[in-house]
Amino acid sequence: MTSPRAVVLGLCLVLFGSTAASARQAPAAQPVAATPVPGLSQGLDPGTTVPFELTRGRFLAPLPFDVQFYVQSPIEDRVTAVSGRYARSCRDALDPTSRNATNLGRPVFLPPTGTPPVRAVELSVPALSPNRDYCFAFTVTLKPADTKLREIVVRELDARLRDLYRNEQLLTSGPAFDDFRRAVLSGIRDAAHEIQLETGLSLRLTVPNDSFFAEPPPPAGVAPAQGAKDIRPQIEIRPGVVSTSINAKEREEFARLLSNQLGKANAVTDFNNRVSLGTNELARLRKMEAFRRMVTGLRVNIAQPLVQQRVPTEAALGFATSDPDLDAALASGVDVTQIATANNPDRIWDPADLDERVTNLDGTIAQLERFRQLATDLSTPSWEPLRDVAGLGPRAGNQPNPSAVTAAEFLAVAQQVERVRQALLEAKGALLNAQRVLTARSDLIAAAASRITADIIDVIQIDGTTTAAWEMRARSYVSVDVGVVWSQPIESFFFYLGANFYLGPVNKKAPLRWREPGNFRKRFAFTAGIPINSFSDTQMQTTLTAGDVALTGVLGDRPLLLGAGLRLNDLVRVGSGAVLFRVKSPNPLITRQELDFAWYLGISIDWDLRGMFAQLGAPSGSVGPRAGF
Amino acid sequence: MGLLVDAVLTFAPGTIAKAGDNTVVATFERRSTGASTAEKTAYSIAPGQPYVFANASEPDDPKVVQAPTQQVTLNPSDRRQTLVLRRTKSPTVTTMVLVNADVTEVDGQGNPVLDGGGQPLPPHRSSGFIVVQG
Repeated sequence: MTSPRAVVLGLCLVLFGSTAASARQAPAAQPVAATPVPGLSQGLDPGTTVPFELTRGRFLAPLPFDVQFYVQSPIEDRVTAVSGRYARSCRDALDPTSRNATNLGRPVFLPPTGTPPVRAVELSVPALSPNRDYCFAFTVTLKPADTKLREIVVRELDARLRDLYRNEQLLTSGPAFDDFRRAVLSGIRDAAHEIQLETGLSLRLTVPNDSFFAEPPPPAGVAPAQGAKDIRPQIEIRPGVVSTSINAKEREEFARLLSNQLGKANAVTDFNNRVSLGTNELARLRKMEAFRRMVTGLRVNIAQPLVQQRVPTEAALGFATSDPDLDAALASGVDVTQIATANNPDRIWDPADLDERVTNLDGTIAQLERFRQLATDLSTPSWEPLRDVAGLGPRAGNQPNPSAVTAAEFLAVAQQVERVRQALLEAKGALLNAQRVLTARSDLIAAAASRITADIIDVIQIDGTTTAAWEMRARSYVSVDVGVVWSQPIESFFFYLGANFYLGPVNKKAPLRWREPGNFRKRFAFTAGIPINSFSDTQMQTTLTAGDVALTGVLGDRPLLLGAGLRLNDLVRVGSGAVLFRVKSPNPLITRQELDFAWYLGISIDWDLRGMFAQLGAPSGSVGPRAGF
Repeated sequence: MGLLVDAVLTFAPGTIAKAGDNTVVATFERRSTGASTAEKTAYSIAPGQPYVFANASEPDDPKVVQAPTQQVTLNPSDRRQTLVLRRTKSPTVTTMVLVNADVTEVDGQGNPVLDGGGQPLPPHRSSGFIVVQG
């Protein structure tokens, strides 16, 4: 075997080599970039960064064990805060009061990188033990997407107000008003639930107690509904003095909105009244004999230059020549060729949808205006030539004209045409009124939604919680053991090469500290080894009970070491066990060799041989499985 | 002849106290469709609401204020009327009060304008809600 001096020298060389290898591994706190082993935790360096998808609750690489590490996730711009907890169960992780959960470190928001630039958040995670289940709960505080919130508020207010159309007065009663608010809130919660399903986030909405969007107190004597569990996000009232009323500003805003909608109903009613009036006046006009004579005379003589000057085409008499059954359509501005597709003003909420009616009414009113003026003119002596050319004069040749129209009759026609025109002017005015209130209604809803959304951004906090479970599954660890042992019974020092079999996974990158949990798993291992040098044929022992005997190996000419040991620090291990060998009998006649053993004490280097060479050979930033062989 | 009336009635102030007499000024805009004309407006509190006008025109009808005739021209102008609202006893919880203004076109003598069939023209309506303090 070897002398004690050579043993010490060899041990120093091994220690130096191992330390140098560790020094080269130092810049190891790099982001994980290599393809991970799915589902298998790794023995990575302290400070390793594990990519994570916060919104989906998914780790994109195995988590390391026994070392502190970071989780890093891309986040949207609207994320204002992130916090995290972990525990052995999601229930504990999600319960902020649970003592079985551990908070993660303060988040660090990293500046945007990449194209398009994306922000990221990084949280520190304490060392986790292998072969345990963990649940991480992350809470994300979002600045609400104001565009989406505004759309939701607009949609809900608009829809619920439409439901109330022509029954706006109902909301003057307190319970009905609260019911309306509940309906709007229910719609917002529906939308929030959709966002939850879309994003995977759990939303929490909180509002001040005097907000229009605070849930009204339940009606007196009404027990809360007992039904299926409502999975939509609750709108919680923030702490404060409980109030049954909403603030004055929002209430006045809402009253203006309601007044406006009722204004539309008034305008449409006014329109309908004026359409009826116009239809009736038009019917009266058609019944006037003088009117019929005028229209017939003008149409028959339309080719006459004088007539043509005032009535260029038959279209100028369109109101007079249309089917009397279509008078209501004419008076309401509906294109008589498209009556089937005419819209009902009561059901119109887009002011532009009334444009066509207004245009059509304008055309009819212009015809009426010209006809009224023509009838007025024909009642005067200066327009007698036109009257005569149109066949409306008192004589037709030398005979009395049976179609003659007197001045008084012309004036009566003009007066009735003016009645029709005024009715249609009022109908058109009512339509314009309806358009104006509809535009104002949209503006008021949009303004209310904007103000409310601004309030929501200031006062409503939307928290999203996501969980990610991880089973810290890792392979058991086997390391190379190189050291020296001393066995007093056989009075030998010798180097050996062996393997340490740990009872669980060990992360050799994790600093070994007595004060941290898991010492037994991290330090204790069974050892099997063989000496580097064989027993020489002259190996003689005199301390064995059999007297002078020769020793020989059990694996060829080498003995076998079986024992156990503890790591004292990251590298050095002490161990003890038995040296197994065979004993030659001093009697040359006896050739059978007896198996025997002697205890030993040893010191060794617990060498992560494969990890060291993997690190030396791997590109920067890459990792590979290092736990075990 | 011919009247155009804004269908929305506005109030200043927009909020009244729950109790006592509350004075508000109701305003709406109106104009004629051409020649000058005139209108008379009746303000009323919608049925079922626990409020009356302290300045009602007729003691027997405390929910109506009949405003005098006013000339109307082609130029848009505001019709303003002071209304004094008073709450009546009622167990009803009221959030708002609905007030209507029915605007009738009248002739020089203050009589309603008639249509070609001799019937009065239907009035134009303008409406608005006054908030009751919570």
